Amino acid sequence: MSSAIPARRTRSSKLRKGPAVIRIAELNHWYGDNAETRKQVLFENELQVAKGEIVIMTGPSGSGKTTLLTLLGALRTVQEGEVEVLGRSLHELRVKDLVEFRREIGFIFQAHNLFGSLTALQNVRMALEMKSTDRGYINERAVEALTAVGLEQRIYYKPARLSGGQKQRVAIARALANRPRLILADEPTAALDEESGRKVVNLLKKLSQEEGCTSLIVTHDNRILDVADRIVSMANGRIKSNVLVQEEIEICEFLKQCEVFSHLTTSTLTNIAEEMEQETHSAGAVLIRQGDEGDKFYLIKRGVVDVIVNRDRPEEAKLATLTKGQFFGETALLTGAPRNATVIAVQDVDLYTLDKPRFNSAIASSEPFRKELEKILFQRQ
Amino acid sequence: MLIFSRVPLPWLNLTHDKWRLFFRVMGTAFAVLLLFVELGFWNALQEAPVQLIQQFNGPLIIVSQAHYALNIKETFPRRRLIQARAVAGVQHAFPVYFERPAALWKDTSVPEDQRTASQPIRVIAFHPDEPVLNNDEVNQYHTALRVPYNILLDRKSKEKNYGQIQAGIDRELAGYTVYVVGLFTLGTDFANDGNAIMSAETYARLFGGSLPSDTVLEMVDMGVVQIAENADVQTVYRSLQQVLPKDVRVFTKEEFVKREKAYWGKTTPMGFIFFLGMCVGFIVGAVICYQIISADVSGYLPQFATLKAMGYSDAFLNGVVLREALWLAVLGFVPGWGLSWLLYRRLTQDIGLPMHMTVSSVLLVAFFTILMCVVSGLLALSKVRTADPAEVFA
Repeated sequence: MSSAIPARRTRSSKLRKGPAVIRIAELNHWYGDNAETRKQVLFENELQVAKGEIVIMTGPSGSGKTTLLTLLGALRTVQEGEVEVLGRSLHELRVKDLVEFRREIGFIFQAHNLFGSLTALQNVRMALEMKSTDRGYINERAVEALTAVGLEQRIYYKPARLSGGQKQRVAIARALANRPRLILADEPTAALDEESGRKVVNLLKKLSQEEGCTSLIVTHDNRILDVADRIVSMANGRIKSNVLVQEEIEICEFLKQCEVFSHLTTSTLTNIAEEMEQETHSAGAVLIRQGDEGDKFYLIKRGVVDVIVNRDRPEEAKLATLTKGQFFGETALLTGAPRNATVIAVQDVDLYTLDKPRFNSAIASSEPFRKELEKILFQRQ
Repeated sequence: MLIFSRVPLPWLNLTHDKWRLFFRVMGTAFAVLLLFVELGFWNALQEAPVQLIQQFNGPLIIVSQAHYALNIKETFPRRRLIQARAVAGVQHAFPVYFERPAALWKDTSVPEDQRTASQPIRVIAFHPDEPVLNNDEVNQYHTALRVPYNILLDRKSKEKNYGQIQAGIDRELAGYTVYVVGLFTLGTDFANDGNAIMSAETYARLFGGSLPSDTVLEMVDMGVVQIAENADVQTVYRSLQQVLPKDVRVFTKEEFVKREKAYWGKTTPMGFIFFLGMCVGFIVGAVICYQIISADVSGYLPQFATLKAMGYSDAFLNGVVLREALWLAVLGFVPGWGLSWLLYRRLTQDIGLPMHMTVSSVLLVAFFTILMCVVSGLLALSKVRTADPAEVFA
């Protein structure tokens, strides 16, 4: 294997699972028609969400999260910036096409908005009839969707005879009936007790895992935060933070086990974890070449690497073999000197990396971290 | 199959709440009833006066040149009828006399101190031996009517005005005591609350003052022309027009009926009022329907907005509203029709107004009911447009 094969690079808080289902760039939005009443509600927002992710959006009311949701759902026209959803550029679509596009999305509203005049089955069928005229398929799929939310015993009930949680579940079945690839939900659990809320989020999680369905949930409900793959929090029309939860927890736990990081406080760890990127390299790849300028700090997540020093001799000398939890590349960053050794992947390796500026700021912000690194550096020399 | 495979949202929205459905249907039925009643009155206004004309026993009618409506007295000389008889094809030309303002009826069975004011009654007079009316009831009394002061009374005359309507009673008419020898059926109209039939002789005695009856009977109100069996109505009609001087006019019965209807329906204030009543009925109905439809649209606005968010177009939702309006029209029309039928029957029986539920009036009201619901549905569409799917997320 050669190092020419480009490494798949991901950065935490950017793409993770696959291609982007949602991509927002430089998104601005205003309310009000004339210059006097015009008020900007979204400022320069950037966001990417990968297929199958469950994204939870939080933030105080008025922070713009609902506006963002309606823009993603093609319920509003994009004023400025780019919004790509499910491969369609919403900012380029005409109003009529926006209406058509909505059929690709499953909406779950805080208010269930079921027709009181229709049974649970008929309410769900309303969604299916929009896309199909096959009666058999429509009925089958409607029953299937209601069964998925645990309402197979209630399909002929009208909303008046259903509890709040059951009504919300009918609304969810309606949103899921067309097997949407994207679900946009606004406070789907606000009206529910803990148990019903749990059922709802478990269902979304199941869809994410089994069908790669992406969900974007606006919520204040802390009880459901644990299903989130990504938490986006907004304030004053801006995305304040955007983190991939699982990955960050993983990195933190991993960092804690590493000697060099073991003395750090959780908040420092979290900060470092948030800054880290992930790289994957095949066996045989040259990770660091002796004599190059130092640009990164590496931590081994998985795999084995050899550290080789070429002491001006044709034959190469293996200095060390590093494995999971061990790190390399810090010397050049600390001293500013060129790389003093070559590092080659022995097996396929997963690495967490921290680039030079981030590494330096991490050191500057944490005295114990700097001391620890200096101690190690001293020992190695 | 395709039609039934869809959820019948408009129908279900209209009908799922039984109590609301009841009030909605009743509201629309009320509007339908209003239309039927106003149309019925307008028709009756035109139909009632011509009931008498329809009973005249001849296809042609002669009246004074100045005559323009049945209840306005315009006379012509009896000579004209004698001239008419000379025209080929004419078999008879019967004189008919009318009186109303002077024909004051007093119910003498009531003690004098409790009696209400005397009421005018329409008097129709002719020679009892001449079959002027095509009415067997009347004709069977021709001998009895020869006796002076014997009269026949219309059993549909209003008891409120004239007291008991029955045969074999003495009552006061125009200051004379008359004897009700029998009853017949004609019907009231908007100008006449009752009818009495008497001989020309009695007519002359009652209303001629001191004049000899021959002088009184010299001026005729109407001539009813009978034609020979083998004669053609149109030919006789044209001959009469040519022969008779210009102080009289000849009409076929159909023409005369048409003219009388036009007078009542279009010229009289009452005709205009009932016509206006129909318009008001339509507007009131449209307002009722609009209230029902727009309340429904408002009530379902979040649901409509949700449907829009799901990808349904405005056109689809407009269709839902209009179809609901049509269902409302159908559901309201049926009981409204039924109630109107009952009311028509009562009005015909009790007041004597000819309220007929004709095919054309049913179709007309059905058309206006649908129009009214569709118009109110169209007005409610502006609300559908306001259903903003982005608001559902708020």
